[in-house]
Amino acid sequence: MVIAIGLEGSANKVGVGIIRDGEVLANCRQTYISPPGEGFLPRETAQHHREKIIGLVREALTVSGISPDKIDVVCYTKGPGMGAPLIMVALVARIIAQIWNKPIIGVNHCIGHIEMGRLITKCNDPTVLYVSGGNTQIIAYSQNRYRIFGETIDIAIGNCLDRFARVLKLSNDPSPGYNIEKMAEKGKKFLHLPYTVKGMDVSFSGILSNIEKQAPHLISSKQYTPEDLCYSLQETIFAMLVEITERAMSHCGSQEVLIVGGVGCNVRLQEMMNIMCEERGAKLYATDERFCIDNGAMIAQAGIEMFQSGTTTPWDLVTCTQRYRTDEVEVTWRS
Amino acid sequence: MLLKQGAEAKIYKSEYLGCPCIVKERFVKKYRHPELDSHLTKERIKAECRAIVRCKAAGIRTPTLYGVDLAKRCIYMEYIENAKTLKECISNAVNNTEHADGNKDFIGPILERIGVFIGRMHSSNIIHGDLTTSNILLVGDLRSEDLQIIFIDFGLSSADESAEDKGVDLYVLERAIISAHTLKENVFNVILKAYAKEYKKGSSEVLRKLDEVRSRGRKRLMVG
Amino acid sequence: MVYSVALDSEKELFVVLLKNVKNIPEVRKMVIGGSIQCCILKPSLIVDPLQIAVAAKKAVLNEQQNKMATKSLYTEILFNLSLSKNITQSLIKFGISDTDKNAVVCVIGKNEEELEKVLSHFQCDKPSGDQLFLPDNSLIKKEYKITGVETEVSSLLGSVVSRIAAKDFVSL
Repeated sequence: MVIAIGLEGSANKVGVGIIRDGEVLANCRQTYISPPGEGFLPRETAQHHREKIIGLVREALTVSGISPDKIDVVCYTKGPGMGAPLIMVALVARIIAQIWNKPIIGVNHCIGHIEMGRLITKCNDPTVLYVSGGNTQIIAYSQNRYRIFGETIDIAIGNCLDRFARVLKLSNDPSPGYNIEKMAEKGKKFLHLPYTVKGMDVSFSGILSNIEKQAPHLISSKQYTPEDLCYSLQETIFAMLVEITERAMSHCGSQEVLIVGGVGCNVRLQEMMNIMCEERGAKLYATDERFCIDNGAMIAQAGIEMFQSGTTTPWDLVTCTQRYRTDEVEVTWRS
Repeated sequence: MLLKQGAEAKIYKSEYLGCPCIVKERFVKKYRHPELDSHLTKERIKAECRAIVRCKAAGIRTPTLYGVDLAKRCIYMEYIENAKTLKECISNAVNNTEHADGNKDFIGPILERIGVFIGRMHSSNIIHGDLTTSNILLVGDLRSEDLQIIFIDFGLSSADESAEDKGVDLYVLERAIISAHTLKENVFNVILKAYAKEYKKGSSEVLRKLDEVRSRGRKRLMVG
Repeated sequence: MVYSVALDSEKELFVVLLKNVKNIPEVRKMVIGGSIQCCILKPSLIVDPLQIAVAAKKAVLNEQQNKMATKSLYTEILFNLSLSKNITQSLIKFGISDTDKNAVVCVIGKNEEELEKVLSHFQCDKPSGDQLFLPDNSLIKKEYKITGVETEVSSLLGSVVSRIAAKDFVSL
């Protein structure tokens, strides 16, 4: 029986979670919300995390009823992500691991998402669509690696949505993507936008610059409402995601899809993916916002898998890295 | 008779004006907004027809086009007898333990010729858009010079001068070869060499872009 | 001797090569006037009857979908055969001229009787069982813009037929 505590803070969410044997005993989180029209920057984000993290650690211990001596391993996000916030959280992880005298494991953020998705949904060997503010990847497990079959060749889909939200000056509370989703639900008129799929990859910078350029004029001339634009953007970029997912499934002969990452919370995306799956006789797995959005528990879960297959991180390698590919990690816990 | 069902279309074997043909029917994707779906389908059918003809003109073998029905979302084209995909051929060569060494060497000349054809394509500013080993057909004796190499599946193709798009074209093929087959990593260089030789004018810029695209994944800042 | 192929469930295409036709101007007038229903093509630009069949099938499809560019099925075939988007030019290019001696006659109908009716108007040698067509390959290559590199990878018929099928989407 392994009990792990996981600390996550690679972007604007800082979270601490505790897992015991596949059971989530605590999953506490705080989000740094920047003013409307602005994105979040490293310094303010790291400051936010510094302010919140000790409180979150305490909260997790209280909620779970687990005392530090019972914890077997401390897990933290090694990367990828934003430098300053990552280091802030890693620092705290190292300190508590030393104080409590526990081993420590650096976890890949993307793999955290995947392993949490697998734990919660109990799916077997899915094609994974990982979509967030910083990532857009189609991943499938093969020969001890989470291999990237397709990805964005420029910006991530979440980034595309977030930046469009800034153009519309939408609130960043609870997240820009959520507010676009709500607007899109009210959209009616469809605007044709550039659709870019290249083999198994997608590109979002073209559609973003196109809609950024057109939006002010389309709205002021009353040809389209902001709701219509959100609707059109979602319908187009989500269709692109579903298409590359379907291609990957065809390629790998897979009958399962798992969506992870913050953008995975989007109900319309789940709807569209589900339609595609049903037509192919495949099954869609998704988690809710507790686990879709960056959280500490997912780091603990991936950490547990690594720990149980014999991995720990030596003290001098307790570092962070902003760029950390999903396929760099040797997946020792799966055959 | 249904031959294959891909992510995008159903492929049937049939007859067109007395000739054996395949019917490529792009079905409606219900998850897409209907306007988007109809627009995309039409664009892809047109792109496919355009590329088939332009490739022939550029000296690249493609199936003969017999007819198009936009309303039915169908393309009718030549049925190619005894065709194997490059994917199958490489897999067989790699898994074939009967002829252990030297067996894989016949792949070299084939890849060279493929490099030449892609060079021709890009010289004529034709971007394939989905260059995987499933979209290259081989007909005939794999060891013979008369082996026919046929390119198919041009739905995502475009006419573009951009070195970036050409680089991505090559990148897709490289990924397809490396991820699907356990060939030595430098195998792709055989294609690139022949490509550069054929496409003298523009290939160096394309290869630079290819390097950029390759490292982009490794360099991208992944936040969130 | 007579090439025939079904274009759809009701219509069949019949194609015949006639040699030494003595009354081409007369028959042409009858076609233009509408008293005979057929199209008469220059043999030099026809590689193989399949070429005509592809153009004819396209014409029938366009007629069904109300998308014809010309006024009749037969002028539509002539238009489809040509790479040009100019209808008049296409008719002149591919249609028989008064000075031609041989002619390719095409009839779309339900049975061969309809073909016989049309052929009865022509004064020419009796159609024999020899080689069906008299293509002028260099003329065809010029007309369809087919160059050396292409002939390495495609048969002449394949190149021509593909262009006819893709005409609406490609400008070469």
